[in-house]
Amino acid sequence: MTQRNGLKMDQQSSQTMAALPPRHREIDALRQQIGRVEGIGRSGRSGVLPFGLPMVDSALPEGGLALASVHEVQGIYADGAGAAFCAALLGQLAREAGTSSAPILWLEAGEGLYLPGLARYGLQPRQVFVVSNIRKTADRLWVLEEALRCGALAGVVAELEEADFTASRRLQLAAEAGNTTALVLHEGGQYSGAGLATAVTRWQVQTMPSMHCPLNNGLQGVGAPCWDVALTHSRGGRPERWTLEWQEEQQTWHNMADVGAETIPLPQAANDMPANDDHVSAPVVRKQRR
Amino acid sequence: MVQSSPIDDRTGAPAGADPEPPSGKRALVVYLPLFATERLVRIMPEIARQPFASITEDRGRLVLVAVNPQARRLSLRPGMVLADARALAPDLQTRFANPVAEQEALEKLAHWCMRYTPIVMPGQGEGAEGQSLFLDISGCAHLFGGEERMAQHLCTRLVSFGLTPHVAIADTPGAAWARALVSDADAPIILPPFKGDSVWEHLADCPVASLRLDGSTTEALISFGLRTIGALRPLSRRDLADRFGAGLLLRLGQLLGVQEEAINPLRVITPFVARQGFFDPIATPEDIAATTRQLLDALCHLLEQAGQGAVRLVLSCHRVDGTTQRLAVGMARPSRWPEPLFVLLAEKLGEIRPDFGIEIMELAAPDSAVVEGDQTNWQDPVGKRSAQGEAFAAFVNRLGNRYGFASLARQAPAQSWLPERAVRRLPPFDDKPLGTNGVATNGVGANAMGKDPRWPGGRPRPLRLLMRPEAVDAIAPVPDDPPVQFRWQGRTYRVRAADGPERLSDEWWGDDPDNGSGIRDYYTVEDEDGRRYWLYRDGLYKPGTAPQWFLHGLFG
Repeated sequence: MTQRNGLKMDQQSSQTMAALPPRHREIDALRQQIGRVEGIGRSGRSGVLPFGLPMVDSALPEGGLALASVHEVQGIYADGAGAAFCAALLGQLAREAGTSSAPILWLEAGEGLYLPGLARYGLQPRQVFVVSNIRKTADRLWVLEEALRCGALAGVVAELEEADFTASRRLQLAAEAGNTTALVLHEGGQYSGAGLATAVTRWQVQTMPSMHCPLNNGLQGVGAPCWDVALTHSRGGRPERWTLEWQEEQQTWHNMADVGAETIPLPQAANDMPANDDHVSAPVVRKQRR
Repeated sequence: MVQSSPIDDRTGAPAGADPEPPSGKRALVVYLPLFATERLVRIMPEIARQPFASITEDRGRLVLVAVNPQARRLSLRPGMVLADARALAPDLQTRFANPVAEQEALEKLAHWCMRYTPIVMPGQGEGAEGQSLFLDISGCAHLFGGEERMAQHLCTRLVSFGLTPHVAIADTPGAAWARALVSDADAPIILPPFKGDSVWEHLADCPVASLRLDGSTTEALISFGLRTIGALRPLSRRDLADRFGAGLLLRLGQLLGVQEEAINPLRVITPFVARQGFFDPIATPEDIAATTRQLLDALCHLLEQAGQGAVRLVLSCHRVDGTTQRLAVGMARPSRWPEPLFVLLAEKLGEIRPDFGIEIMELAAPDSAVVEGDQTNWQDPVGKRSAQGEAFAAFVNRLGNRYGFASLARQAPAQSWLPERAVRRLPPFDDKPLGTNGVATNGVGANAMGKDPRWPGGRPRPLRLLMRPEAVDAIAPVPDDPPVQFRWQGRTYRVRAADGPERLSDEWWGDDPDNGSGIRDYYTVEDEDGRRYWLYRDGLYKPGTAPQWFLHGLFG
């Protein structure tokens, strides 16, 4: 039955892709079929969260971040860039959920998340529930899975170091069952292999010097937060890399290439970045002693 | 005649002419004269056959507090100095008395007795060496096949615990206690319900010491030749009160039932209790789960009728061997829906060890609260949103019972400017009115009177705050420019852009030495890689002293 449905859908989609060369058409059709088999791209039900930037959205299947699925965000250094990127995505998820007060869960490994800092990403501190000080990864996986399954949250951020294939598959199923989007955050440290096996997208984030800095008493002031965002894995999409800026007033993303700012020399090849970079000795926020 | 009698009887009539006491009440008293030593024998069985005494220090001397029968046979008595006792019994074993542990043990025993009646009071009858338990068994005895069988059942069990129970049942706790004091061990005495003067006949030969009087009154009575309760009968009350004080009349009235005496229950009886006893003890997990589910349905029905929701549930399993296992779950907000509550309980049911079997299971809601509003609303009768709120509450409850409710919190602004004190933790569901999503409405600026402080709007705040600011070596132009370079954790950061300062200060009364001077100038700085940090300089600029710089947060 699945196959027949798949064939039918293929015919529909093939009409829209008439403009593409035949080989691309075939590949795209196969990709869509794989996506359906894997349970991704059930867009009719769960939809996507568009970034609002054509360059980014075109790299993602269905034109945005797939909702009701698990995404992985890797901060290359433990400098909070990954958390900030997650916060920006969460703010948009909360807005997407309709009400501005939809509850959000942030699952911390330790403690130290400061909710007043979330305000610039459009999140009200009162809507954010923080689960902190659950040290064991297995326990955090349990919390994350139950949070996804309960279906009442607009989004969940979970700081996880690792999850084996079974666990990550469970997370994806829970996200679909509860129709909730999960961002699995991993900051700093070494990446052991590919990360979360079933993540629909995987992002690597690091800070970039801010642009458009206002002057402050004759000195240069701090501008809008700006990140080098690499989409290293996107199921049904294509990996790409941008420099994105978060506009606090409009609560939108800006692609620095679109804005027409001076082009920033990007570091070479995102994947082998920590290997021979002088940032290797970059600071890692020490575990807080209490 | 200044002294007023607690009994409104100024006629001087003989004490015997008493009115009918209120009928229907029955009290059971367990008198445990050797409880203090028997408790220790239970802990240390090796001392069971030797003379043994618990001792305590009294004005620099060691004196005996309680002695076991073997020691008593050697003429050892409580109150004796240990040195004298050693002269009488050289092989006397001693342990220091622990009144707190003894009281705890008695309360434990009282809890155990709750299988007979919910109203159990542990206590020491005045003027007696041992401990007592008072049970209000009105209307309970038939469940055990009558008073005689109930008393025998209780006696047998207590003996099997290694205790020496003296048990009596009467209409009043006073009469039961008086009989228990003079009864033989393990031979319960049951006084029939009082009828006219029958109580006097039953108690005539009891010594006056069984009236629960203080020592001096008892001695005074004996010195007048009034050795038994029966001897008091022909005397007029006025004379008794004049001579021996009002306490005697009070105790006499309580004995006869003309003076009300309440048995204060050890535990407040909750109205929300469901209970199931079994003919054959159960032990399998399936049976336990099924019974829990039945009890939960019954309990939720009770809660619903009262418009209440449970905040805490306690499941008690009374096992065949006389022990009770309890497990408790808490709720973040009151609930009376069996499904999610059962999920909470089911996660803990594995902790129950039935051992030889469970004969009674009891589910109680000791804490309950009014369930505010209903979970459906008129716009959305199916309650999609409310169902989500319930689902979230169920998730919070499960999380709380696994990892503690403190692990989940929200943050609210607090009355302080210091960043680490400017937030306080809110429980997941606080007392603020909750929106339909189970989330409180925005608290920013909720109260213009300043009772609810606002978040510092428009000011940069980091995403991660270091619990303890870390000292950094910074190079900054004086007096108050942002640093141009700082060194943190062995690495040097060159500052590319900076905002600030924002001066935040401690409360004027604060003198916490950890806070330094209490005045901080915060700067948001960005290094060459775009990482943004929240740094502050402690204190005001003073010529000649190097300012202290700290890193307090990361923006990301």
